[in-house]
Amino acid sequence: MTKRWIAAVAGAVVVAAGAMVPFLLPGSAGARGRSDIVALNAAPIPPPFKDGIASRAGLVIGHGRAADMVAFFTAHGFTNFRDVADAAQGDELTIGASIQPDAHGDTGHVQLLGIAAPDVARATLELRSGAMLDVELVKAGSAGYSFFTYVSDDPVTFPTVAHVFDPAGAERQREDLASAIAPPKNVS
Amino acid sequence: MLIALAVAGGVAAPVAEACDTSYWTVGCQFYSSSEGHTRTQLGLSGFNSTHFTFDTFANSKMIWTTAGGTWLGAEILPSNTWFHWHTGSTNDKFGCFNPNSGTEWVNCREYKGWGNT
Repeated sequence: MTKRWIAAVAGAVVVAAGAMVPFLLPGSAGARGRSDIVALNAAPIPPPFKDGIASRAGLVIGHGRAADMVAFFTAHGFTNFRDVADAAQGDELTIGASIQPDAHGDTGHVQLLGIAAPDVARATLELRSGAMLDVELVKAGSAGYSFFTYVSDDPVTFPTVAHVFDPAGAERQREDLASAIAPPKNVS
Repeated sequence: MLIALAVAGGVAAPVAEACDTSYWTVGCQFYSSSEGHTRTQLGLSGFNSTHFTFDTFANSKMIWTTAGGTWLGAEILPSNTWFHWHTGSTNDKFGCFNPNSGTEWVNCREYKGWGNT
């Protein structure tokens, strides 16, 4: 089963799904089939995604029947799997994020998940401090998309703008993140 | 697109009538900037889920609040995404929130469980 996964970044959830397989296959009780399940903490996962695991946020990318599929995992739960291209909706940069409050009801923790189109060569984040940070893009899947994660629990290093660039250095898209990470306070 | 249709028809009723509230349990409506709506979950499950679509911006928010409306978490996601929440409090609420600078039409669903239907 794990050979069908290109990159797995959500620890227990994927391992649990894999562990169920031997019990679901007909006749498996007496079978001695070889399992290729790999514990995620021992898997060769790129460092940016391991950072995501440590902070309980990340992406899982797998093969669907006709396309690569992606799901976002965060501290609260996870999304459905969907076609990466469908999730991207033709954009050069697709952002997913999870925020949690601090003790005062302001945003205290940010987990950022990004999907960059195949022609993107570089991605950067502007932080509240004014610093500019290059994020590591990790290619995964057959369609050429790349992925990144970023986590912060310090408001000074919350991301405010994300940029992606093509190989020539031209900016292809920017996303203002300030409203995305602002606390939702007007709810009925 | 929805805005244009509403203006051309003079009212938003034709759009509202297209909303199947047996599915879109939180409802379908225009959300002003920083406006959110939630629904108390039907009961504790391993997961409770939200599903939304919207028509104007690249991302919007799904939110989790206490019964009193204090936010506990938010997920910034593309349109037509399901999110499966894990919570331990029966009275918590889930729903949708428009974090963007302008008004957008949002279809928002909350339901018990984590299937996509």
